Amino acid sequence: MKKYDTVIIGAGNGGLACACMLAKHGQKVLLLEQSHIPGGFATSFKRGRFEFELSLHELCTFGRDENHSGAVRQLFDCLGISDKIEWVDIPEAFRLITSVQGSKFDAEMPFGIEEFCEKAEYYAPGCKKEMKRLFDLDEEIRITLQKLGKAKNKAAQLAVLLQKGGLLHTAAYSVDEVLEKINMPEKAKAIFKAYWAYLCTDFENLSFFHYLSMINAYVELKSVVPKSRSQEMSNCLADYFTSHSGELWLNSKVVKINTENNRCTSVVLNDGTVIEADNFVCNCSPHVAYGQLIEHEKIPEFEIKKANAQKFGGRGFCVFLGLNKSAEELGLKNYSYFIFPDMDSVKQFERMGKPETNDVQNTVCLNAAHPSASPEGTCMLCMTTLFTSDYWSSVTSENYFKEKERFAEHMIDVFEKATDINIKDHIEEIEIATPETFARFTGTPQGTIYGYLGQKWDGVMPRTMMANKKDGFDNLYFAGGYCERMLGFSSALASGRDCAARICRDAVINGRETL
Amino acid sequence: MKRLVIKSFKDDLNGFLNLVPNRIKAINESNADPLPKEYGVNALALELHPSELELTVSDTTEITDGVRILSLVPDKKTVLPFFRAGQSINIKNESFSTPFSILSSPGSDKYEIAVFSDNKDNVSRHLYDLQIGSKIRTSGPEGFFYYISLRDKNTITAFCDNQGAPALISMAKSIADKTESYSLKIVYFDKDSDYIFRDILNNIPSVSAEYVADYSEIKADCGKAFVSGTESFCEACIQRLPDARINIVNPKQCSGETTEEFQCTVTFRDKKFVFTCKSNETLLSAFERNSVPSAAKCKAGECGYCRCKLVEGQVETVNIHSVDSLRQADKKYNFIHPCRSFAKSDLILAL
Ligand SMILES: Cc1cc2nc3c(=O)[nH]c(=O)nc-3n(C[C@H](O)[C@H](O)[C@H](O)COP(=O)(O)OP(=O)(O)OC[C@H]3O[C@@H](n4cnc5c(N)ncnc54)[C@H](O)[C@@H]3O)c2cc1C
Ligand code: FES
Repeated sequence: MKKYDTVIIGAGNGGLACACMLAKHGQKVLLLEQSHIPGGFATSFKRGRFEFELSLHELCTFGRDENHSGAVRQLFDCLGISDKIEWVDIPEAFRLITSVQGSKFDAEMPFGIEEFCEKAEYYAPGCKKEMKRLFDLDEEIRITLQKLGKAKNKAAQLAVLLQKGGLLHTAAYSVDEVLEKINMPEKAKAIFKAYWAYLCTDFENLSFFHYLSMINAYVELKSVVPKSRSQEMSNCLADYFTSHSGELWLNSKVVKINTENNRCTSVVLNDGTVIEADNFVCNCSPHVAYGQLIEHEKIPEFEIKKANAQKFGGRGFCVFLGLNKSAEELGLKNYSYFIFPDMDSVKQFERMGKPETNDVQNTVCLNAAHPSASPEGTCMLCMTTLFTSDYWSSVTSENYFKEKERFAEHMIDVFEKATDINIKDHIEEIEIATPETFARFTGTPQGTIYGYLGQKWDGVMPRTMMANKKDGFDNLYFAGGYCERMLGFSSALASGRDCAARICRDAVINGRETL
Repeated sequence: MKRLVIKSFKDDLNGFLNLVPNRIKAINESNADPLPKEYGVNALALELHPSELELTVSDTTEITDGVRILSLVPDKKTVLPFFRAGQSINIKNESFSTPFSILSSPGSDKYEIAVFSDNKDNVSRHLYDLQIGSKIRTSGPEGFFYYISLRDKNTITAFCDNQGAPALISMAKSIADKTESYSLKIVYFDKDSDYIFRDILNNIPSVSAEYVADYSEIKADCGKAFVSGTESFCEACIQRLPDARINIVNPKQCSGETTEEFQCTVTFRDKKFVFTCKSNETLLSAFERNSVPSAAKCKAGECGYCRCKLVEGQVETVNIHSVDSLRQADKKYNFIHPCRSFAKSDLILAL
């Protein structure tokens, strides 16, 4: 008998969720994390008197209350931990600062579909009906998807698909292709497109269905963040896991996965420890698993080809600022600022490849949602952008510090110009995270923080439709932001839960276990 | 609701039905070359922050009785990681480790550190008698004590005692060799007026240093001051300069007399370590004595790498900084920093 049913490599959101669900199901699970702390990107760090959130701007699909709950709350409810975490409501959807048809456009949008459409009407008269229609479409698609899941056979599925056309008609198209058919003023389109940077795929490539479901999740269900930063979620999940007989080993990097006859047999840790198990889960990317952990010759060809065909999503760059004035004093009224030079996502995606032309940012002032997040008379700002190229691999170690400070200053300039708020004179603490930083802490290739890019052929829809197919090793699974649901806290968590369900299902099929 | 047709019913349906076949086709048309083993960004990250360095002692100079400067160089294949003047390296010996400020300039091809024979920690004792040619294991450059132009004023006043001087020497050198551009005013405190590093400081062009022997001289005229020194020096400075940036050198791992002994049980992976710890030593030093693995770096409660869970028992945490470096969520779940914690009862800890 092997000591473990399942070994999970990586304690990010996906690894933790998978570990908890398997432990709940009674499996003997070992969760291996190379870092000294669980959570992956879901963590925080301290500088001086400030504790900064590393990644989470807003968590969608938790839901504003029990009656409006999404996948994350359902997962946490299932584990009985929803109430163990203290949540903070995000006050408004976003503030968008951009330019539309050559002039500055500055819009503050609320949560709630009705309120959102109403406010859009205020900024772009005549758009309300069509805006509402988009949200209705999402609801229709969701119902169709639920019915599809329950349909017994192909014929029944087709009937469901044809019954209401929303899914059928839009599933294959990009945001731009669908929006072309929607008769809305440009300003309304700008509002609809504002969450663009959260997925960082240009709208010629980004699946309309995917984008719509995300924007709807935010606007309808509202978003939250844990009061003690996302580390609170990570600690809570880790605590659930270890108190349900799970073993979490920190400072334990997996350097090799051994295989035999299309099955993984064991993992090897950095200190040489070998651990056997029935199943293996990678919360790291397939690029890491197949490029660094498993011998190339042993890997099924389709899996290698798939990884080679995929492209990395955005590489992260963040500036964390602890300011010596309160948000109120500085005039930072909003929580989330989306700042784009214009709404041409194809052009901006291209320009985000280089520091000289990357002017896109999403900046969060945590104190706007949680005033006492930092000491009285201070506040925190976190500015995030993504690089759409491997620019940061061309930087040398001597230039690295200067380059990152130069670009950080540029981001602050962009923010000051867009909001007309002086930031620079109030910096008490600053930390800059570059793609190198993300690469260093999680091993993510090229500092990618957004999983695989949603290319036109590789959107969430076909990925999900293929997710149950086993193309790779019989007992190797993936969980997290590189998987079919793509990046994001809720996606990674849901992917961990799906992964656990697959493992349990396969265990039943293989006769090792009964449900 | 009116149906939203994008191209035509047939095209839309086909598009839907072809989602999977198209994806399979795109994958099949891709190549089966091995995936990269290395990535430029990850390689640079590793170059800047190697998990471990092996360095050779290329020179040792006694600058005064009981203080030696060691020059450390890498082997020919390794590039010495660039660092920010003010940072430290953590030097390891067996299961012990101690951080040392780098006193050379970031532009230099070696790391220089100062070793004090008075410091009785295992690593200092080991280093002090090392001969040229000996090999040592260190971390990459660590720590947050350095100048940042976006944050700091153009002129910085920095205070140090003897042990804290190396970090400021590196900062002064980085200005002299134009790696950094700001002006630095150093106030060097030594109640015995020995000023061990005075000659070295005076040889660095364009640095202004003032030598004082009384705490009443510790006052800053503008901006946030930088303070580098022993724990007692830093404490004295914080009283006068409450918001200074602090670099605690050689943080004390032991204080006062042993009053009590407790049993400490630490679990790491599937191993269990059981040993006795004294109430006057940090838990981290008890870990080191008993070869308990720990990822500790700064030993001053700042880096967070020693984080571990207090499963049972009571500890007392003594922070030198006015601010607690433990994350809120870590507090909520009973995590502690053993480098700043002392046992108050028998303990069970999980790494
Ligand atoms: C700056 C930033 C802002 C973001 N903002 C948001 C947001 O507002 N909302 C949102 O929903 N999402 C956001 N995201 C995205 C979100 O954080 C990620 O998509 C999600 O957390 C990824 O989870 P994951 O499960 O893929 O694991 P990761 O967080 O990638 O963790 C993987 C884990 O595996 C470990 N690991 C890797 N290799 C090994 C190995 N060989 N051995 C042992 N362990 C290994 C790593 O150390 C790591 O802990 C943001 C991300 C970043 C960085
Ligand atoms: S070693 Fe840095 S916090 Fe303990």
